This record gives sequence, C-alpha cells and structure tokens, in this order.
Amino acid sequence: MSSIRRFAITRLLLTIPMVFFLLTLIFVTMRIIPGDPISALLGEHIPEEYYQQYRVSFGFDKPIYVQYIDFLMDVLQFRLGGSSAGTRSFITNRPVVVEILERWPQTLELSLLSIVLAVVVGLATGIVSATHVGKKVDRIIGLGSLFGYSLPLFWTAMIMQLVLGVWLKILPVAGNSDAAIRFARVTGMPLLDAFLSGDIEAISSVARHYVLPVISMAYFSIVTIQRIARTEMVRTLHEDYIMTARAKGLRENMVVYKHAFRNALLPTLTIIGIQFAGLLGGTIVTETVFSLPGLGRLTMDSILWRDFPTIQGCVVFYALIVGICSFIVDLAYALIDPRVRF
Amino acid sequence: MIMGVLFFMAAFCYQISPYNPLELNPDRMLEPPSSDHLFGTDTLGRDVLSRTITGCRYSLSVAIIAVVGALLIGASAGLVSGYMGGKLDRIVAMMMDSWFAFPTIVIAMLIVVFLKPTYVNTALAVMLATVPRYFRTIRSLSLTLKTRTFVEAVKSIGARDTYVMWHHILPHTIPTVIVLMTLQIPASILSIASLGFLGIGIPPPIPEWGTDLNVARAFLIAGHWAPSFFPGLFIFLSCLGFNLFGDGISRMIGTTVERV
Repeated sequence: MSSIRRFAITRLLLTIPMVFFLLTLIFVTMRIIPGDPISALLGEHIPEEYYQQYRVSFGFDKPIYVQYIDFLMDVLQFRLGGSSAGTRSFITNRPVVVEILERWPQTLELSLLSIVLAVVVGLATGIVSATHVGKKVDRIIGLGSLFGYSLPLFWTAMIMQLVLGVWLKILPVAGNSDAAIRFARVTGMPLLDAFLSGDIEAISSVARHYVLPVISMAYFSIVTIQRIARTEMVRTLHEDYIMTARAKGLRENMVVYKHAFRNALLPTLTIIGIQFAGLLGGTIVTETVFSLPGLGRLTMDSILWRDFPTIQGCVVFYALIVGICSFIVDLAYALIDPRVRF
Repeated sequence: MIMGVLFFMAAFCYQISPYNPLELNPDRMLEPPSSDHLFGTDTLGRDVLSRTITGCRYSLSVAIIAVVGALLIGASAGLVSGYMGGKLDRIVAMMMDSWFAFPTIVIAMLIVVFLKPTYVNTALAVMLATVPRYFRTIRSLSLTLKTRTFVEAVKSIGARDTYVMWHHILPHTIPTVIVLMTLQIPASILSIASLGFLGIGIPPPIPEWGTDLNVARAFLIAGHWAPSFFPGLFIFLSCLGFNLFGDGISRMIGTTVERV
C-alpha cells in the first residue's frame, strides 16, 4: 500500500475519535448543563401533564447514558434531529436532515467563494509584504490587517449594506437574486445553478448579490492568512537554501515563487483549513444579515424559535463538517510534504 | 500610538454618560446626530452616546471575565498536561484540538440557548468556547520549558513535580499569558457582540454594543444610520486598542503568540 493511502487511512481513523469527542461535547452541552430546555421552550407556566409529555417525547426521562447511546445511534443513522422528539423540526415538521441538506449547498457555495477569495488575496498580500519587509507597502498592508482584525463582521456587513446598498445603490442589499429571476435548482448552489441554466441575467443577478456577503465573510480570513503567509515567507526567505538559490544566479522571481513559497505554504495550509471551519461560524451571521437561505440562517432561526431538533441537527452537522475539513487539511498536508507521511 | 488608544479607552470606560442610557424618550425617536444628542437617538428615544459609553462597561467586563475564566481553566490544564506528558497528555491535546477547530460562535450559541441569556451565562459561554486556545499555547510552552536545563537541575535536587510546575515553569509562562490575554480580549468582545447581535446575548435593556446593533438593524434600510453605526464603531475601536496594545507588549516582551 502506498504511503499516502496508509496515511489517509490512519488519518481517517484519527478523525473518528475527534468527531466522536465533538459529538460528546455537544451532547454534554445540551443535556447536562443545568437549565431546562423544556421550560425554555414552552415557558415557565405549563400544566404538568404537558411538561411530562414533552419530557417523554424528548427522552429526558431515560437515564443519561441511555440518552447518550440514543444520541450517537441517531447520528450514525443520520437522524440528525434525534429520534426521541421525532426527527422533525418543531416548526416545519419536516425531517431535520432534509432541511439541513436543502440549505447546505448555499452555505457551501458561500464558504467556498469566501475561502477562495481569502486565499488568493491573503497569499498575494502576504507574499508582497514579505518580499518588501519594512517598506511602505508592508506597513500599509500591516495596518490594513490590524484594522481588519478588529472589525466586527456584522457591523462591517451592515455598514456595507448601508453605504453600498442604500446610499449609493450600487449593490443589492439582501437575498441571493432579484425577485423576478428564476432558474432551475440543480445543485442547490445558486451561482452554480445560474451558470448551468445559461441565463445571463440570472448569473449576473446572483453574482451581484454575492459581492457583499462574500467580502464580509472573507476579510477576516484574508487578514489571518496574510499574517501567517507573511511570517512564514519571511522566515523561509532567510533560510540557507534561499541564499544558495540566489548564489546560483536564479532570477528573483523563481527564488521567491518556486522555492520560498512552496515551503512557506505548509503552515499556511493548516491555517487555511482552520479558517474554513471558522467560516462556518461566520455564515451564521452573514446569512442572517444578508437574508441568504443557508445553513447558517437555519441555525440562527432554529435558535430563535427554540426548535431543538433542528438546533441539535445543525450543530451535529457542523461537527461532521469540521471533522471532514480537518481530515482534508491533513491529507493535503501529506500530499505536499512527503516528510509527513510516516 | 498604542498607549494613546489605550488611554482613550480606559478613560471613557469610567465616564458617566450625559444622559441616563435607560431613560426612554419616545418623543424623540430615531433622530440623527445633533448638538443635544451627539450620536442621535435610538428606536426608543434613548441617547445613543450614553448607551455606547455604558455599553463599553458591560461589553468589556464580560469580555474580561470570559478571558480570565478561560485562562484559568485552559492555562492550568495546558501547563499540567504539557508537563506530565505521556498518553494522557496526547489524548487531552487531541480533545482540545477538536474543541479548538469547532467554531466558537456555535459553541457559545449552544450554551446560551440552553441556559437563559443573561450576563453571567454569556460570559460563561464565551469562556467555555475559548478555553482550548489557552490550553494549546500554554501546553506548547510547557512542553518546551520542561526540557530546559534548569528544570532538570531542580528535579535532580529532588523537587516534586507540583513544586517544579508552580515555582519554575509557571513564572516563565507569565509573559506569554499576558500577551495572550490582551489579544484574546478583542476576540471575546467580538464574540460577545456577535451573540448580542444575533439576539442571544445580554438581554435588553442593558446596553451592549452587539444587542444595540441588532435592534438598530431593522431601521438601517430606512436610512437611520446612527444607532447602527456608533456601537459598532466602538467595538472596532476597542478591539483595535487592545490589539495594538497586545502587539506592543508582545514586541516588548519578545514573544509571539499564534493568532488564528
């Protein structure tokens, strides 16, 4: 078996305990933390028999370890809402899994676009500032990243909505397409579907609607990636082999891109992976501000409505995604750096 | 520049605001900034400036509580775990890594949902969500420190492990801890404000920057920009201040802390 395969399988096996731990964490948070979800849901003053009814239907009357096993079994069988309360959302009465899977593509598309933007801009600015350390460009970029680091996501999103959407009327404020546009839902990803439908108006409409949300989500990652890329590049550029390459007479461009960059990429990659998981958290706010029909908004709405099966389902789903992400990052790491594949 | 922003922040934290931030004044709703009300008034006629200033006290205090609490839990666990090493350390480290990878907002949200949203619970939620960050940093510090010669020296005299940890390793972690704390405060402020913005943070009528933004959001499209602008501006400024301060300290002390 090739070493990559072996590594992949080992990593996969390690990911499982990780997801398992996350699920346990979620379970603990939901069940063991003091506070009564039922009265939070129904209000303080309810007749005793309703209270008991809900308790039974949630499975709260069973011992904790039984609830735990039930929880895990539910996840394994993709009954993400938990079977005791029915796997259906309180609000729409549809299975939680269906609701999640319906909205997931929108979130995925948004996150992918954001991470691509973040990586491109972040790496570019990181390299530029690393190759011009201490000069004006570096300082400006550094200042910009400090600013970006301190900006609250929701505020920036709102301000952009205000300035660009309301005052200047350049970009749309909310939603993912104009009201009159219709296109076939193939994958569930609005931009992709618009492309597939071939309707120019639809494509441009979705694209315009995406500008603000994607920028909002991306800038924090841009800043982080830029910092890491810069640090790593600066560190790499001081290594001996760079001096060798220059002594050999290689053009500066080649030195920078082919040698330094590749080696600086590694730690940056891990950070990128972590950023993607963090983006998921960002989608909650972004989708709420821009009224996009994605998983983040589902999570938010279900929390506002105290729709526990959906809340549980969403959070469990996030845990799975985080596990998958971390696995992909590790795999990419191994693909790039042969030393890692033990 | 760093100190300037910091002093500015410390000063306005303790200012008493010109108007009572809770006082309703329904005659004067949603006014743009004027000489009477520098930042304008919000949806219920409350003075935005006062709310912003008082909000500082709340947002900041919750952030500090969350940071200190998370630090105590995470750093002590990291110190012990890194020092002890072995299988237990690896298991705990793996658990912490998973915890770390999970988006903080989601964890905080989950905790706040299942407890009632209150001041204390919000602090608790953010605290628990950020523990792994402290754990990781302190643990890696602990790992490198324990191999240093002075540790070996002390141990060869026969010092007990607890003694070594407390008296020798711990003091060396203090500079990093300070930098970490300073840099985590803005992150906590942002988390708390996010929770407030989503409507599940510190409940009204307590002025908190995020919650105020949430309320103001509905009126943004209609063009009333003041209540949405200023609280957020202050979130930004306070974060900027702490970030600058943290960067300054870290440069002074000479350590670098991972900032992800």
